[in-house]
Amino acid sequence: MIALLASELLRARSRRLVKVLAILSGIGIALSTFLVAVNSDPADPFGYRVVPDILTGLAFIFVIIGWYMGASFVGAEWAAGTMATTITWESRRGRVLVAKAVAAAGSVFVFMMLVCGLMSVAFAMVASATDPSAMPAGFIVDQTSLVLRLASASAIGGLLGFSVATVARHTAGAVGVGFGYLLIVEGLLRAFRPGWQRLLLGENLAFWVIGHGRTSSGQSVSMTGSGLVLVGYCLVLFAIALAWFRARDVN
Amino acid sequence: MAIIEIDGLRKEYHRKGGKTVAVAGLDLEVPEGGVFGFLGPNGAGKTTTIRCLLGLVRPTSGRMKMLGAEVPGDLPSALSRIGSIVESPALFPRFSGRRNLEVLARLQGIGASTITSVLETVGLADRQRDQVKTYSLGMKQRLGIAAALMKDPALLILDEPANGLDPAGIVEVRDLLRRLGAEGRTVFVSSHILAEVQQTADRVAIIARGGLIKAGPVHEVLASGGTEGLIVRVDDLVAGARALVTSGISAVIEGDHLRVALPVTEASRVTRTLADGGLYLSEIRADEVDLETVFLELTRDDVPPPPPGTTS
Repeated sequence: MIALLASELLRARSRRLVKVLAILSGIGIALSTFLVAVNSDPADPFGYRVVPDILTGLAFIFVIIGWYMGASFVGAEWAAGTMATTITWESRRGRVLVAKAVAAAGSVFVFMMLVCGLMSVAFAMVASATDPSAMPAGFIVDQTSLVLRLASASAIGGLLGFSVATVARHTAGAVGVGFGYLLIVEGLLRAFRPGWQRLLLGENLAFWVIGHGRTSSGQSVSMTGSGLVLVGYCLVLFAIALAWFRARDVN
Repeated sequence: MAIIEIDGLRKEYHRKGGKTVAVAGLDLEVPEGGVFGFLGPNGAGKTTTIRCLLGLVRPTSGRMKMLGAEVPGDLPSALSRIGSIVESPALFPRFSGRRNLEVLARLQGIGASTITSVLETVGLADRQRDQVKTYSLGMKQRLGIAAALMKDPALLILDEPANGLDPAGIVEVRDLLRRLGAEGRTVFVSSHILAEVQQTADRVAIIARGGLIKAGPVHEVLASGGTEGLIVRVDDLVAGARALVTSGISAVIEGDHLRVALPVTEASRVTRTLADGGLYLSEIRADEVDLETVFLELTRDDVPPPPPGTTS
């Protein structure tokens, strides 16, 4: 298992997608920092209190990027045919898929932690220059916690994308399913089954990132509660992917 | 000892409106050591058989063993001694050749020196840092062979390893396979380039329509494909044929030569008979049956495959 993980992690860090996303993220952080700095109004300066709001507002994008990274981690294997190569080296498919899933979710987590962490530092530096008030007590701890929640939400997205792509054997298919489910299926459920809102993926990702939440019907959801629902989504989808992967021929 | 044992292997694919039988009760034994050619026309079931052996495809029924391990149950214990390429080598196109090998090497704790060594063996040392997408088909094939060699395997399973190679590459692969076979490894190679197999393999198996048609040492398989004979050229074919037939030697005119039904060891009888009749040879040679002729004869659609167990 360790050898499988070592192999998958080497592949993860060698991927062009990771390098491209790192460059794009660097450009995005630099640009957003610049815009925040130049748009800071002396009457209403950019302050520390806004930093977590910006990151929370970007959570959906982070999750989608995580979903795509996870899906393409296994989708690229199906496209290149290298899944067959891997299985001719390690035929225990369960181990192979678990190692790939850990590497995929782990690399999304680390990547997003770096992106969100760098973004937080950059925005905090702008705030230190523009905000006349001192850094609030607990800012660093709160911000670190938010970064970890954002990274873990992205990793959950990555694992879900990975699982769907394992079944679909296609990156674009998995991304399409993700968008279709989140926007259409959950949109319809939100409209016609408001009582189910407590269990929807989108809501629970938001509650997890924010740290708590309340459904439209007034039901309060804790971070732990939303975390458990998200774990449930991951376990169910990964179990389906694993069963599918073990049962089907690899061509 | 058989290094590969296949007993009644059957694989069916279920499609809309029916099923396709890719392998229909194949029995095969591959002895240890040397090069074993696995031949068959397109769609005969060669690749499906190899995929079943490597655990990529679940057989519908039948038993398989490799290196004494039941497949697929005990396959994980045997895989560290089995190198393989199935169809074209599947590689990450944007990784360098070396990085592709490094990703695989980590699966079994294989060191950098082994990677360097196999890259040198297949002649890719100078292109190891280039992206695989810039490689020719032949280079990808050689990289696939390098990956298979990294395990220092006792058994190599290669599906069409000469695919896409230029003539020089084919010769290189042929020499490599021979060398590997001579080292005591077993090289199980499927191919449709029959001349290559004839020059490389010690034994062959011919399959068609999912079943085994013929298997054995190459010379035995060749012997089964036609009668021994001699090709003889003389200026006067009619006089030559008459002289030979008069001496009790069966001879017929075929185009610009005579076909004489004698083994090459009795060629002197022909030369003596013709010389006694005042006829002088311009050519005499063995009428060799090649693997292609045997293959085409045995895999003709109107030749039914023998029932399982009647070939070895």
